[in-house]
Amino acid sequence: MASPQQVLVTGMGAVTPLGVGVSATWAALLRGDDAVGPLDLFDLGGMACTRAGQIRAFAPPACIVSAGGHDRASAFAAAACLEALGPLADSGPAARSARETTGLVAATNFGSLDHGETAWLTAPSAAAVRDLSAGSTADLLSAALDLGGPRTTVTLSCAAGAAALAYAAGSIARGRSSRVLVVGYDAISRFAWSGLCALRTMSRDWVRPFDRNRSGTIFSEGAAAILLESQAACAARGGTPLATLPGWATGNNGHHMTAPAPRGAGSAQVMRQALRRAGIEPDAIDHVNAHGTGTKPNDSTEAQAIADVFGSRAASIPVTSIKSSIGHMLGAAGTIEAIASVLSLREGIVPPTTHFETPDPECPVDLVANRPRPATLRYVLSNSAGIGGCNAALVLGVAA
Amino acid sequence: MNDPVVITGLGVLSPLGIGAQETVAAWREGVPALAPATRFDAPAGSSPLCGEVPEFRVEEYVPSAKAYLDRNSALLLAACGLARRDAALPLPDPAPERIGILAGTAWSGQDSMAAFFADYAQKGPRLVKPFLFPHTYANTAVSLAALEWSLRGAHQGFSAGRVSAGHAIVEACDLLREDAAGALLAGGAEALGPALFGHLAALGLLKPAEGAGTADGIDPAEAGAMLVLERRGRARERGATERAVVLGAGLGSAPVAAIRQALAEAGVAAGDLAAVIASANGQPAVDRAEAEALRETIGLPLPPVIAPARLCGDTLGACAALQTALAALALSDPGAVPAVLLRPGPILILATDPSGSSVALVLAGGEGEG
Repeated sequence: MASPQQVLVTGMGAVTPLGVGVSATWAALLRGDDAVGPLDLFDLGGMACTRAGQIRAFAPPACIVSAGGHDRASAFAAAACLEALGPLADSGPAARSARETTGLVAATNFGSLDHGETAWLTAPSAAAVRDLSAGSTADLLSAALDLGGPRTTVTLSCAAGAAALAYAAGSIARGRSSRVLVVGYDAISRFAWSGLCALRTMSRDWVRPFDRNRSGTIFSEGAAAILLESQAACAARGGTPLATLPGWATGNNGHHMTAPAPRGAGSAQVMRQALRRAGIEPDAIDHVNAHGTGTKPNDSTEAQAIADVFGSRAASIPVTSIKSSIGHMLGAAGTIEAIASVLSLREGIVPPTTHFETPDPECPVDLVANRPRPATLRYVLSNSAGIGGCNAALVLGVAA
Repeated sequence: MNDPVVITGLGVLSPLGIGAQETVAAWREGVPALAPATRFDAPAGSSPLCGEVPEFRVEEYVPSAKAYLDRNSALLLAACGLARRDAALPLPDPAPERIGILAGTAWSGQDSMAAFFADYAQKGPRLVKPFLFPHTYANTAVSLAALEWSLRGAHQGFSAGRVSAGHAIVEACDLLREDAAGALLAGGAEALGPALFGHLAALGLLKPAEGAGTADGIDPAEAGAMLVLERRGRARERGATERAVVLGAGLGSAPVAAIRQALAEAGVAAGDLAAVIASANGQPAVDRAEAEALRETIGLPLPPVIAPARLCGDTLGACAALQTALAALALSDPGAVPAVLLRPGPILILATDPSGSSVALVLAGGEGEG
């Protein structure tokens, strides 16, 4: 393998319940808008959870429809990818040539199950059955976007988005790839929603991360895509770096299928490993974009993990959880939070954790509560976790 | 490479048998391990032939009791248990944050998904079984294995059709080379059940009942195959036996790219390959792509090409792990495998998905091995 390459973020795209496009989503996050509302995609049949971050009024891109995409999940992902590719999505020879070597790493909890589940509800068609495999959407996206590099799907539950960025960054740093498009995505389906309700982690209130009276999370749908390139590949095409991605790590808490480890030991471990890979000390981190689901166990153990990693500085590092506003985007959570981290670095502002009312002594973090906070940032740490004891962390830095 | 990645443990459950000994014996004999499905009925009109793993009890391979495991998870956990024993990994490990697991599966726990959704369809969404839901995630098996042995280091799950397990193995090798872990379990699992058999029939992948053995199509099979990978220096320090050394790896959206990358990384000339273990499975898209890619990258005459799917069926998302395990067995015990592999030299492993996605690995004998 070639010598280590610097990994750059050079494109971003998003389809979220706060808006279509990165700009619309970011503006809504800074305003503190709420993505959560009544869920009316299907008959809820008496389910306990009736509110979600549902995407409305969205037109699937033509390329995914002509490639055979039948579902909302792949449509969200395709639209986010097109935005992230930017000029590389056009039909000119230079863009086509760049796409020939561009890899794709998808991240998801449920894949295209919003279409796949029809195989169980009606006579199974080949197209629906195909979508019961989590990896099927990546093949479809690759064809729709005309990407010629290697492709795969990372499945690490709600840590998948960050884990996919970690995998892709590693591939570029080692010289195995020069350009990789990473997309986290998920759509609300009957299957997913009935299961998520059964987990009993959802709130009937708002999502209030790190608040003493927090009562759970609320799930959302959508997609968030990030284009990663080596410095050489970016320079060769005259691209503009938006940020660097110098550190990443994945791990497992080795503790429990659905509960975080005591003191968030799994999160602390991947945060430390990501810092080590980035070659920086904890003191260099100016902001933590937290997993912050709004559940009792996650937020208190994540706050303890932050305290263990950052020591006495923990109480003065701005921490936020955008899930309070956008909801928990499942397989896209890690990628949308990485996008928010990049925008915080570029614009010098941290989006708020909304609905915050009552401090929790078990969560002693410097929460950016209810209003955005201006800040000069060099490095941001973005933390993720998921079912199965999964953990992932990313370090993002200001582009030179 | 001064400190290459080596394979120090193998855990294999396949239609060829359970464990290394049974597997090599069946492989050497060369008698197909395909038979009509015993645990469920094949869909009407489809060939009932498939490759089932012989009966096994997962309790024999894992330290803790399990209230519920679907077959995909059971196969992966048993393969991990076997691989850990083979590698003599200590339990508990003194540095669990340096030991991780990466695994791939194309279809994961389809029977858990079907059972969960059957309750939804028949009883309504309020009466689904909460305990089943976490078992429907594609990362269930790999994460259960991490939890079982407290493997806290690098953790990834992959779903990429027939190259799923291959992606896990390549990533594990890369992570070890950059010292991001001390030892990694890598491989994959795929389980046959009524749900997946039905899906494969709906996709038109199965041979027709009357054309079994002759018509295009796959004989579906199941397997759990895991490798213990670590750097040679670490393996020597703890006195582990090298079964094989990983010289190079490659990924591509077509087999030619993957093979070229793997050979270049390995520093091996195509003409020096002793054999190829291919994933050819009876699907024209796969068989033709692999044959053409081998001709293009290696040239004629080709070294002996072996397709394990002929014997044990298409193990789908686990196939690259099974192929790699077979190559490691051939390299560590040349007398125990088909005579065609007796020529010394590196072995190329090639796994290909019908979509074109491919993984290639180049393995050679470990220190002190043939």
